[in-house]
Amino acid sequence: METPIQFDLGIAFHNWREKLAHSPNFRKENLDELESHLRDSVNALQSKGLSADEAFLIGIRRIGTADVLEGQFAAENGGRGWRHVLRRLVHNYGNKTLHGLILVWFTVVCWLFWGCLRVSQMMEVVQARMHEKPWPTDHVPVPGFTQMMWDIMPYWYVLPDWRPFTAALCGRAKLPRKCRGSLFSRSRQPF
Amino acid sequence: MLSKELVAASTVPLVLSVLTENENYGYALIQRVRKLSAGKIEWTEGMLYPVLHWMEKEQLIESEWRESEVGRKRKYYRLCKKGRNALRQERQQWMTVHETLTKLWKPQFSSTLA
Repeated sequence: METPIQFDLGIAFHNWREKLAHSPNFRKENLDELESHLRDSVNALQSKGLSADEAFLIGIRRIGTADVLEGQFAAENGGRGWRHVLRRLVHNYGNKTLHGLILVWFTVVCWLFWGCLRVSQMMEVVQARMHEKPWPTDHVPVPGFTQMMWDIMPYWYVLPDWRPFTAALCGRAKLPRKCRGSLFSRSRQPF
Repeated sequence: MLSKELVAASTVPLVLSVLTENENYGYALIQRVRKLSAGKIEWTEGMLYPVLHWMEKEQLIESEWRESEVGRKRKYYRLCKKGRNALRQERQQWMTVHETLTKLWKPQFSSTLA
């Protein structure tokens, strides 16, 4: 069985007020007063035995439609003075402008923060040091092969594994059964 | 039912007159006028508030938000000195119209009735 939708007066008042609040012609105080009036009207109708939704419907009909009310209050609040123009502008564009300003502010702050990091200067320093200073191990007196290994240290990881060839050259038939490989060799076996 | 123009013209003296009884809020003002006129003066309820605000701006009345007996806040309106003077003038003008019309219509009514 379908359950009937419960009519909630509080929500109805809230929605009615929200609808009016879209217009810049109402101030908060006007809406307060109109809502107070509607509540009195609905209460009076309910005390005559009407249900909540019936009372609300008649109440909003008596107080006048949104268009009529807006027209009535326009003369009061929507005049031509600069104050009214400003109010209308803030009502229509205030939110968007505020969001835009926050966005701009955030952008500027990010930019300043990036500047504080001085990344480009740091990179320049690193590059200069790399070009000007000798390799850290250049001064270490080591034999040729070791020196060569030091020199190619950055490429260890991509070097092929020569051990099968060396094994063949040395006359060994196959690799030891447990070959863990060197730390950097590509053929390193999984544990 | 009154014509739109007459309703508009009579709103201010009616509000001032009702407020001479005691201070009151919008809804009660409307109910009072409806009851006294036996439902013949029917205002669009929302229409009253701009008029009240205009009267307040003209210092005919003053208003105050106050907690009512039902616990909700209501805006109560009260008559000012300027409002009393305005009402006196309104009263004279309306009485003039009323007396003139009464004098004019008296023989006509009796003749039509006769």
